[in-house]
Amino acid sequence: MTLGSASKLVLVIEDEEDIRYTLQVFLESEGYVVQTAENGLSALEWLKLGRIPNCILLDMKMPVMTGWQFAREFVDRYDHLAPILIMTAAADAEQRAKEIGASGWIGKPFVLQELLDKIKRVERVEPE
Amino acid sequence: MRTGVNLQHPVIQVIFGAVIAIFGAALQWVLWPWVGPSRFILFLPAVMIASLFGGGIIAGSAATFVSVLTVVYFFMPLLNSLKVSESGAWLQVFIFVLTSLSISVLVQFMNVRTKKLADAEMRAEGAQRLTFAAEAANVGIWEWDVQKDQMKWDDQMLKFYGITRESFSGTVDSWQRGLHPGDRARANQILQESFLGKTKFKLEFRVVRPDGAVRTIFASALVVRDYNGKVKQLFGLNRDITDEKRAMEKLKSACEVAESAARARTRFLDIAAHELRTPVTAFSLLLQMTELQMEKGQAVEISTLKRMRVQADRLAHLVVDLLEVARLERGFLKLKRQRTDLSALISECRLNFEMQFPDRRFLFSEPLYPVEITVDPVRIYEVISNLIDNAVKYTPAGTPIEISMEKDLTRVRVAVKDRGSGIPPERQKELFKVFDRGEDAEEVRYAGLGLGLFICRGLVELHGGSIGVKSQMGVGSTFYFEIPFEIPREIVLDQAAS
Repeated sequence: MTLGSASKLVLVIEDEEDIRYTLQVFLESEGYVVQTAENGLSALEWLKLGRIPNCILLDMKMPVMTGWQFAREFVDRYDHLAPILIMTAAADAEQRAKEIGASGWIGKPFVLQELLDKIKRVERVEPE
Repeated sequence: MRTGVNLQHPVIQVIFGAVIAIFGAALQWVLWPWVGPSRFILFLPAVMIASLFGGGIIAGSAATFVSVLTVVYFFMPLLNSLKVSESGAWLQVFIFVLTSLSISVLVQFMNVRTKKLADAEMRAEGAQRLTFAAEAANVGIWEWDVQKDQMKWDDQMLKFYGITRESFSGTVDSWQRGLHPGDRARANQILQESFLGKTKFKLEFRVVRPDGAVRTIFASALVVRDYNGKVKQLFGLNRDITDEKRAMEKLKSACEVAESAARARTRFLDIAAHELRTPVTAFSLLLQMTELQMEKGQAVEISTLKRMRVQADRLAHLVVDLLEVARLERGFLKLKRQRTDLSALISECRLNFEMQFPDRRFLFSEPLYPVEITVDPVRIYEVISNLIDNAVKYTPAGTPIEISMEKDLTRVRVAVKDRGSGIPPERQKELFKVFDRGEDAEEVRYAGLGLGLFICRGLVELHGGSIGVKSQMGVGSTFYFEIPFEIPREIVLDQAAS
């Protein structure tokens, strides 16, 4: 487990507190630094501080600002600097992921190990 | 209607021709002293030509035939017995011509008259047919002489516009006055455009009758122009389409209701899927996390277990709600009625909320006397708890929630008042419907399925009561329900039967 500047940063955007909490605990145990946000708007606020995450885990149905709105805003402002993984219960997840330019998707409910595999596949690797 | 004999009939024509011939022969007999026998043969072609010219081939032939017979068998012997001078040959010719002409004129006159009568009859028949067709098609017919501004309306037109023949002005004004103020400008515009030849005169407008009734009319007209292209006349039809339109609108709104019900169901399914999946996902993730922690020999926190229980409870709650709706919709829900002190029930509920939400204020001015009523206490508790729960969910943290109860001789009323932002009037009546919660569930999401108020309504109605809301934007909402002391008979019977 390595912390500090070498650790990869995952931004979890999810309105359900327990899901946020579990993902944080799990990903931190896997060596990631985790930042959580309860909706798209507060995620955008946090992004303004200047850190670009290595991966964004994005829930779609959220109050205040949905996943769709967040993804649009994010691409507008930061292009595709960070890969987005959407977590959704929607049946047409794959198509929707394409629409918003996401790097991948995972259907709820999911297995933590699978999520980790997907993150590892898409996460942005900073040049040495 | 057909009156008298048909003057065009061949038999009539033959008789007619014969009468003419006899008349001619008689005239010749009278004139005999001046004419003499020798040139009388000239008379025959004259009669023939006259009759042919006037009465047609049958009448002509018949007249000729009868003339010959009359002359040969009746007048010839008579002529032979008389001696007439040969003088005045030119006079003779003149009289022949005059005779022929007079016969011709007579025949012609008779014929024109016959034709006129027939024409009039045909016209009357045509008009009658038109009237019949117009009535059957619910059509009124009008004519407008534009240059003189003279309008002719049939009875049906007068009926459409609700005016009498006497009050009809006979000018275009009559039409304009009848138009609905909202349609007048457009109708006149189309009229003008049709004058210019830009469009056909074809439109729909509303007519306000003097008694205030509003009818919808479809109008179309033919524009007749003179050789200069100037508008001379308009021939037109009006059709009363009010009933058709109403039927269409009814059908349309029925379709819309069905469609919106279908949409609401789909939306509900969407929401339900999401609502059920969220606690399942949370629960599953919490379990997986615990499992991983245990594998690594880490201590499992008690708070994680509590989180799991909350999610399991949430799931159970959703399932209970769904089942309850299903039971209510099918009428399977049975009440267990007993004498209940309503004020004690409310106090108990309030106490529960105070424990759950210690930082919120729940006010209830408990009456000094018990308010006893026969209800299913479990169900009424559920209703009260649901109303208070909504107030907690949808109002800002600092605001108090006031519960009140009042009764009169027939009923008891419980109200839960909040100081939230209020509910827009158009949303208020939707609140108690099934599968309804917020317009755009993807944008605005609250916890739960939005079945609470529908269940409350069902439970209160099972008790013979009613439920409602009074709300003012920016001030707050009051949800209330009323239960009668005596349950209406039909509800008792209905429940006993099921």
